[in-house]
Amino acid sequence: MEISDDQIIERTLAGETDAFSLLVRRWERPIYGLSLRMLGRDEDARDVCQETFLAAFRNLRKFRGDAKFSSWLYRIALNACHSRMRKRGNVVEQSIDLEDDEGPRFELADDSAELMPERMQRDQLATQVRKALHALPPEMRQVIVMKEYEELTFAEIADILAIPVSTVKSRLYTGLQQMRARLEKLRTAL
Amino acid sequence: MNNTNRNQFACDRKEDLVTYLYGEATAAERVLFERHLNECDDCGAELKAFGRVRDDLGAWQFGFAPRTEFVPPKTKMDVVRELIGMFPVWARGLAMTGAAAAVVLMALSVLGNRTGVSNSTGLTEQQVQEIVSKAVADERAKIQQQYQAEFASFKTQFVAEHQAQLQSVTAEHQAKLETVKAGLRAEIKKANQQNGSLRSFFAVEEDRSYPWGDSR
Repeated sequence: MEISDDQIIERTLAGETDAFSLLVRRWERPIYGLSLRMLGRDEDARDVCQETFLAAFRNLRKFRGDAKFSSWLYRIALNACHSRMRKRGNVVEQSIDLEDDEGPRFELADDSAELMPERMQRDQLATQVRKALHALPPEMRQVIVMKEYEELTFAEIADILAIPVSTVKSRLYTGLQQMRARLEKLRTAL
Repeated sequence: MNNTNRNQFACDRKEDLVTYLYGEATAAERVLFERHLNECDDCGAELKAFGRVRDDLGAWQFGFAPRTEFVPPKTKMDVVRELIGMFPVWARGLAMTGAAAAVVLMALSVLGNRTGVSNSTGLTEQQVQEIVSKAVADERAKIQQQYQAEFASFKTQFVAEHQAQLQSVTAEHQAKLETVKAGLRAEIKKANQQNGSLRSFFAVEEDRSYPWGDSR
């Protein structure tokens, strides 16, 4: 049977500091994924990952057992993401300006969409999704990322963000609406 | 945006819609919302559209997560311990004695200030100073003794190490010298032999050149 997060925390607090590496291995992928989708850059996501685990280790004694360790970790990671976004003025790597009258920035030659290999189409779609997601306000983006990619429940997201479940649902609804509008506009432009 | 606003105004069941969309509705909620979907085209269209958005979102995946290198940071105590470990025993002792003396002095000065001439032990300030001075002097002497012992031990070790090295180098050079000497002796012997031969040769020549015994 796999050792639980709480058991690892107990061992770490008892002085077995190397045990914390087990938590790092277990949670590094979700934390990296969350950071990458929030910030859009691998380098930033790696840094946030490091910061998150370091902060968690330093503040492990403050962690209350009544919450899930993962929720606490997600909260630390999101705070680190927000702090990074504030520092760089929430500049999106290359945002999609949907209000641009000059037309779309993606251009395909003739009927290449049909001829384009499936992999390329998927990559292009991934790029559009990434840009559309990054054009969303962070409070909507984080809810979509946590729900869609991290597959957290509404209650878990509400707990992490310390907001009511109804607010989570409302932000998710608005976020999906905006994503739909952006993606549909891009699709028709292609 | 007009399209979305129209939906929002037409039907205000957005929370039910996302709950249903992500499969978090209870059985009863599901039945109720499905009944609503039969009556509300806007919600049906929105549900389908959101389903497509979710499919699109699924296109953005990443292959691997880089490994996070995590080294547990050192506590302040660890750092202090390491720092202390870097100094020799005598320096550690000196620092600790100094710190202890400073604490004692501070404590006593506070007590002295509070009570005037004497403190709770009934000692005068001068007596306290004498006691502290004696304690510091004793500790200093002890540290000095310890330092001298450490130095002597280091010196012995140093000399022993270098003595062995010196002996080894001397023996090596001695052996080389002996070889050179032997070579030289052999050369001298050879030269002497050649010299002897030459002498006897010239002696014969001399006899032959001057048969009359003219000594010139």
